[in-house]
Amino acid sequence: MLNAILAQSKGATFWMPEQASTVAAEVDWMFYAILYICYFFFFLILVMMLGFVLKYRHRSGAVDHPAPAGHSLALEMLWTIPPTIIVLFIAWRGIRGFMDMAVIPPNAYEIQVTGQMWNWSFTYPNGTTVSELHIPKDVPVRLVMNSTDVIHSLFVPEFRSKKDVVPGRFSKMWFQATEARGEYDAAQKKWVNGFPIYCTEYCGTSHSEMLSQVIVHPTREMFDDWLADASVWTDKMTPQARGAQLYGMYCTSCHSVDGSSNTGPTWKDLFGADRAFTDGSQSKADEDYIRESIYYPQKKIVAGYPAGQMNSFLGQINETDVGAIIWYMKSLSDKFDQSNLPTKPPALEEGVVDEGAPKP
Amino acid sequence: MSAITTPNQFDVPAKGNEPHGHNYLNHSKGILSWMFTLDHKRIGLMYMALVLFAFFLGGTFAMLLRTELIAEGPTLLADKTQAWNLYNHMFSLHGAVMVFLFIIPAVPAILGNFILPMQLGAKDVAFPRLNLLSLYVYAAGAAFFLYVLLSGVINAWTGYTMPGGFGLDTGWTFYTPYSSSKSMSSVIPATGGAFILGFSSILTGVNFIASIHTLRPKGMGWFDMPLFLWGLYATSIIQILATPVLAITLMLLIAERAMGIGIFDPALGGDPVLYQHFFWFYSHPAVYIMILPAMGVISEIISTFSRRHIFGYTFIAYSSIAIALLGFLVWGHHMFTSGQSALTNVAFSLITFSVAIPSAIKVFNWVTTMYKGSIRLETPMLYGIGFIWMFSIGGLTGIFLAALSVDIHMHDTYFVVAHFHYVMVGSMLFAFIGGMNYWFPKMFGKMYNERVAAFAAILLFIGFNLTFFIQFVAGSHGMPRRYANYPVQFVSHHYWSTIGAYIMGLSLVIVLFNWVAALLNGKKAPANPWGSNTLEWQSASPPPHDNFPTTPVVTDPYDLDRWRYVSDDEGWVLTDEAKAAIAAGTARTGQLH
Repeated sequence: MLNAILAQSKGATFWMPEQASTVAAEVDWMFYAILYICYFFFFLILVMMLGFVLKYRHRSGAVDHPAPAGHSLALEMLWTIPPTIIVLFIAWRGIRGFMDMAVIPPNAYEIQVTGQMWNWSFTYPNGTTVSELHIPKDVPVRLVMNSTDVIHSLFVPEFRSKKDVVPGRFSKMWFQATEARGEYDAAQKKWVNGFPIYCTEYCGTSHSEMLSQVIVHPTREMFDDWLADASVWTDKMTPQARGAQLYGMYCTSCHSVDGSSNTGPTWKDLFGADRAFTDGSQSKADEDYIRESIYYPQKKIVAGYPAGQMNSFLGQINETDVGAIIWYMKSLSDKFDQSNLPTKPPALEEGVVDEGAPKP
Repeated sequence: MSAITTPNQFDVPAKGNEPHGHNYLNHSKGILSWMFTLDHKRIGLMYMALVLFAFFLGGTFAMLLRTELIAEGPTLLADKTQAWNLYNHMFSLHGAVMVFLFIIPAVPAILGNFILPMQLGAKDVAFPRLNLLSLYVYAAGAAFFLYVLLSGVINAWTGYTMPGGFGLDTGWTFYTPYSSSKSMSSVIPATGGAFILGFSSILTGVNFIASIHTLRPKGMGWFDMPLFLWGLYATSIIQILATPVLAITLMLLIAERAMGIGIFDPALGGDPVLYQHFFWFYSHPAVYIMILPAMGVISEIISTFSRRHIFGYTFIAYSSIAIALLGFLVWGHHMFTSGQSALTNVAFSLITFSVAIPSAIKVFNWVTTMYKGSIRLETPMLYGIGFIWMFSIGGLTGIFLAALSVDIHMHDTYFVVAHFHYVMVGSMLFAFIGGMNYWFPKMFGKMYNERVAAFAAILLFIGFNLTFFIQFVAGSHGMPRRYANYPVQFVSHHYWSTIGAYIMGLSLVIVLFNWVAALLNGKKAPANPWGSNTLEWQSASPPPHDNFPTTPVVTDPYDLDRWRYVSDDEGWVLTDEAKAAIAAGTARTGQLH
């Protein structure tokens, strides 16, 4: 009967978000069990306290009761032993639930996760890296996580799963989604309505922008199709479009593309502009400068911006993708002749041997 | 000391202090007589001025950060990055100032300093010079935080154009490697300030332990002490054992940040999780530094205003010590998601549950004390009842967080924020303000306006619950803490929470104005306005420089039948039987055990 009371609906309740992983039901069972125990004790205390206030409230003129030193071993045991038994039960059940989260199934599908101020990247076994987590439904997934800078923490409320992502070590978590979620919005050219991913360890200025989502594909086949599709872009989009995609993955939390101010300089009209640096030197923002800023961001700091904000993307964004980002920056700049932008995906350009993007 | 001219009378003042009575406030004059005083009462008042100022600053930060969160998107500043930075600085300074400058010293350094020697029937603490030193060490530590704050304000004023080293944006926890290698803010001055404040805390702890061991008067055994002293004693144990660990940790952090010595930053060969172990080894026991003296205050208030002997005295006393000792063994529950081993998590979860038991014992004993009482709902008692409400919610929600599987979901969400605010603000702040109202007549010899005080207490209760209860719901739905911005599903949670915070702010202003008004033209307070039997009430209000003209006769601190109410002007006076027992030499302790 207890289970019947505590078995919560899979949808969101007053206290809990939707259940979408194999461990969520157990967590919610535990949560509601503790909640009802707490309701009982809280109202017990409240009824006693307010009851005594009402019943024994001093009325003017009334003579006080004599107040002998009171203690009762029986009463002390009454409120020591039952609570002890109750918390031992909660501790045991909480530990059991936790072990289910901690023990990773050996057949789990592995995805590498990198946390970086302030974005996530997810790398699949075939080397494809994306900024949103795509997983198949009903397949255990193992995340092997690392940070390139400070501590982050990956949290998916609907999965009831969370783990810190610590620099200098790999931390692991796993989950198995029980609900499919998210669809591709062709108009916006992006996936929408996934389960939110939050960073839950404070990591500096844009901690609250370090967001992503989990797209749960209904079947393993659909997931495999997505992965195959995501792995190759050169036959699907222009390099500047690929650059825009990479911008959305890695750069958007610090750099604007519309001229508004942010942690780092805006990309609007940046390519080809003159840059003044904090050490007093100057240079033009050409291809080489942009590549250096992505791989070695601390070498030149634009005047008016603090040092130390940006991390190197060496090893995360390959040379081909750096080229695509440069194309994207060119497409944003009034100093670049827009008629020179590529109009077709690189693999479809006539006369181009497919070895990635055209060199910018 | 020979300057004392208080009349040497046996039956210490049942009446209020005489119009031009000699007391510690007018004992000597001039600023130097305060700066170099060794009087625990004056030191307590100077602590009060500094700590309340820190509370005002911390409260202002809270109002600002709640205002940033009242609506989605950047609120206080138009620019996103600047708004996020401002928010990050506000929550960091709010936490650091409130924890290190307000919550930890508030009850021990203000109420403890003033009341502890008096409850012992003593003239002063065991080491008065050390006591004065602790005040100046506190002021020095506070000065560091003031520097951090002012530099941050100047930097914000000039549009964040300075290259760095201003304000504080690491959170009060200073987690590495963000604090040691990434943050652009004044981490070294802030941690240096916390380091110095630790010494102030240690000096107070040493002093209280020595005082309780050596200054108890004839007839006062350990189990004849008021429970406030048990609370302070348990607190002092934590202060002297745990604070040095914080000092070492912050030193290592400073060494890494200033000199690049690799201890916590993996880029330098260190381990960031090691920092968390070190930090919480202090900072979890520090939670009990905050709550144990508050529990002591509540024991005094509940008994006095119920006119009942405290129920289960020895259980309350032992539970304070149990909480202090168990508190050293549970730090790992802050790190359930940090990547420490599953076995470690299991062990810390089990030990954490053990703290629930002594906490439950206290609550049930307080409530039972009210049974068959003659309950007076004066302001301190309103805070006492409010405390039991708050502490019940704060304590019970701790069970969710101790349960491993549930904590994984709740960790670092607003559920945790709400939980610890119910304990640290709801409970500790209610005990502190309740204690201030309780002892205010003793400290200043003036009565505050009871109606205004009661109104402020009720308003504070409403504002607090509005602010924080809704945060449990936001947190269980996944709202992460320390977020300058939030998804649209949490808009109404944050809106109402901010409205509650404004109500809290308003009620605290009323509390303060009521005290100031009482100081300026409050009614003269009798020696014993509440009819309590602890020794401080057997001195005049305000007390003379030496506290007691003669050593007071020690009786059971909760034997409230010795007092009967005469009038508002006279307060409560000893019954004829009690006076006769003193004269006959038969008044004594020993009823408690």
